[in-house]
Amino acid sequence: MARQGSLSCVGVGMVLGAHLAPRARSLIEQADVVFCVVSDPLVEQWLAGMNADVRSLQDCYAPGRPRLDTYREMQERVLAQVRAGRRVCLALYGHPGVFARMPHEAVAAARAEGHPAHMEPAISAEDCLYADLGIDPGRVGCQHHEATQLLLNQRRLDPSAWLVVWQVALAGDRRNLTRGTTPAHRALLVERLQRDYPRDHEVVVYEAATLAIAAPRIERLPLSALPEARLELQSTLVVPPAMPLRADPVMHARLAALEAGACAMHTVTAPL
Amino acid sequence: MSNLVAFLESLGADGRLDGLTGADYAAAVDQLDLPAPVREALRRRDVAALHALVADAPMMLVLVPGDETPDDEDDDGKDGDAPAA
Repeated sequence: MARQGSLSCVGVGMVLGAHLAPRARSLIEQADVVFCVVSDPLVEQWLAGMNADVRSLQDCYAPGRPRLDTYREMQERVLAQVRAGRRVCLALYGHPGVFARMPHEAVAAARAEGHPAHMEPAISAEDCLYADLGIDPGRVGCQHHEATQLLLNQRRLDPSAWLVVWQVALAGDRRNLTRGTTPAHRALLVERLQRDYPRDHEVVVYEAATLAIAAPRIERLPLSALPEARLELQSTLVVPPAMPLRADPVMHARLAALEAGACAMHTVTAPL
Repeated sequence: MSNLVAFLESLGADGRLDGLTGADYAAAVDQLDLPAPVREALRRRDVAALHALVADAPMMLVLVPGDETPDDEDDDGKDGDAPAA
């Protein structure tokens, strides 16, 4: 009887050597074949040292090629090996399921075909961002949006919370190509953000480190300077809150009434 | 380049090595059996120079489409075309 293929999606984290979890490492080492999409050529070499059959999916990208075509080809290469009865590991930079559509779809497709498939959580750029910038998303809240999706849709932003805009170098890339967009595209993003934030509001361009020899990029600038800022594909825009939290007096009153009622009930029913 | 990857892995994995500064870091780099330009890039902590020395081309790392309009699900290879006005 032919062996059933399987799929494990793992993340290698952001910094080479620092973030790979033991379980993810064992899945890489024990796989029949490892496919990888990582952020650094040295990380690719690092993975190649963990398994004899590591295949980069970098060649699926091509200038001018719609990214959706790229993702379909990646998924097909991975699933072909699963269908062939092999234990397949798909290793990606960061977390394999955060701002990464293809791994989710690969897992769903493999399961739909009857193959065991799962995803391991890992350290993402978002996690590094919180640590490097000293942000606790639980303090006043934190919104995350993909830059082009934010531009193309009528989203409600809350300027009393943090805002993180991913893929800011690709803002306005409606065709999902692989090259960055222009300052004119980013000027439209600034125009959109100015509905909720002052033009001179300080924002941060952030890039997580990928090697331990380097520091993360943390560049502070006014929102208005974003169109001309140097942005890389891995750049993320972080917008601090522009106003304090606003209390909801109606809900305060309702909760106070609820608590008063509960106290009264407790007083009546409490055992002697 | 396996020495380079092993060095970077040890820096990433060991918090004490990550904290090496100045002369200690330079001494650790000088001990590596690597081509001089690679050692120099390491000494300067110049990631771009290091990449230029070890990689043929910049790597892509975008794994999510910019917009999830219904057009994205088409199989015609023309995803993301402008919606009709």
